[in-house]
Amino acid sequence: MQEDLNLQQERTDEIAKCINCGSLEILSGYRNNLCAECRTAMINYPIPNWVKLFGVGILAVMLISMIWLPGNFKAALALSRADKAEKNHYYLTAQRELEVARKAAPNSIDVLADELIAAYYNNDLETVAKTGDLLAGKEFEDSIKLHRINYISTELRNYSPSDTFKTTFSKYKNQIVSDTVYRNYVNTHPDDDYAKIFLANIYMEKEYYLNADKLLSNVLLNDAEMIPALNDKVMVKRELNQLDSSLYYADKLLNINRESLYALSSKARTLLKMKRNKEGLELALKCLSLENNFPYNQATLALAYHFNKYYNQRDELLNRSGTDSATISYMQFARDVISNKVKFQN
Amino acid sequence: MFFIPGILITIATFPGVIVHELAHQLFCRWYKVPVFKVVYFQMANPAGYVLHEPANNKLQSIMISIGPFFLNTILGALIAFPAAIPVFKFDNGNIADYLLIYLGVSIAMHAFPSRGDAQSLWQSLKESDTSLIAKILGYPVIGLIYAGAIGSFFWLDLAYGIAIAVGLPTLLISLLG
Repeated sequence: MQEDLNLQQERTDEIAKCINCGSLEILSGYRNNLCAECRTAMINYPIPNWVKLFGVGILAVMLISMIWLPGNFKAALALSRADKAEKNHYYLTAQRELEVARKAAPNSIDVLADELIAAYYNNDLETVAKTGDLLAGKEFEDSIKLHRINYISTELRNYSPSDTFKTTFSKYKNQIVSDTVYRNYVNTHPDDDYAKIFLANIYMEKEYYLNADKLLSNVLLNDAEMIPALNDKVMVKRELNQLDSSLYYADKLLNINRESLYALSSKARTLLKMKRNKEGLELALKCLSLENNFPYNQATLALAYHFNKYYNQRDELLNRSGTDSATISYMQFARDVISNKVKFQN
Repeated sequence: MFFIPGILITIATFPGVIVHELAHQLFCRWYKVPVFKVVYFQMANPAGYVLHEPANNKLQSIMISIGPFFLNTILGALIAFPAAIPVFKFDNGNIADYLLIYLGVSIAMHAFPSRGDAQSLWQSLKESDTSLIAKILGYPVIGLIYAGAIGSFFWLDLAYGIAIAVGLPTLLISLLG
């Protein structure tokens, strides 16, 4: 609050005096009669020491806030971008933004929960386990998030063998187990989706794609969004030359996670197999722009360059990956296709 | 519904009152207007005030009246901004964050000029030598001040403090994020 004061001038016949000190040398042109000295003193009305101290304190607090501001603001923007990305199923972007946010708020339940969700859809099981450990025993206020975490933990049961599976096969330690044994187990344990996917993968390695397809269909009948089964379906359908079906499952995966590296790269391979070479290359490059160290896509890209007749780029990629142990096995497939050892396009 | 006496809220948010009065005083000093008395805080109504000579320039009068509005708003926002993020975005605030938010809200909620400020401005503007521009600028300001004063009965000042200290960071983040 402030009040303007037109202090009462003395209405006497006497000469006007300074209302503060009585000096006759008042400055004219102002509302109140004040001498120059008093006017200056009142303009500079003293601020008490405690108010100065208080002001310094406020400024110090403001300074601390300003120091904290950039880091917190950056993290909040990252979280906001992660939220948007997650809502639109861009989980790779979401996870990267959440990593930034977590640096500023390492114990935030919301950030950890979001990171766990994004990591799950990116098949980053190491981060899922890490964030899951940090979230253990924590209370969730967000019921939707809690529901999603519970869904993921249920799904994750299919990513590792059940106790029954482990006990059943522990007696075969160091022995080669025949497909029949696994098939019998699957028949007697129809709810064990892990076992079905495990057996499907054995069939895929042996190129028994029809058997693998049947098992995977059975898994997807119970759980239409089971990511490992969908991943395998894209490849199995491609190998069975059911290319439209392969694209269907790739798109289904991309509907779950629009930045699923495997789905993008595997879809690119299917497109290449359909001789839609340009589209295949574009998709492989899109995958590369999201993650340039994804070995499966390095091989896809080599194939895409090959079928688009970009031989220099293909050879450069093959040479570059020659020493990388993570890429070698994937690149071998590309080399086999390029050398016609494996027939890829009909 | 329970009633909290305004004076209790004023006491609880005293940093804002001090900043408000200090802002009046600093604006007076800036415009070379003599100050006769300053009460930075008291447990009475008004909780603080500044007595000063009317400024010769009407725009200066307006600025002296509404100066605290800008200073308290900016200070409140800057202090609370980084603390509002861990508390409201990450649900991960610590004691320091809550203290900063309290301080930010306290300062921002006392940004509104008081009815005394409005009266002072009214006296100044109704003088015959007031220019048209000053009147055009000043009367809406007086209207807004009175609206704010009436609104303070419905906790508008507190709502404003919270909006500045908490709502502004949230809004900025959703716009830029």
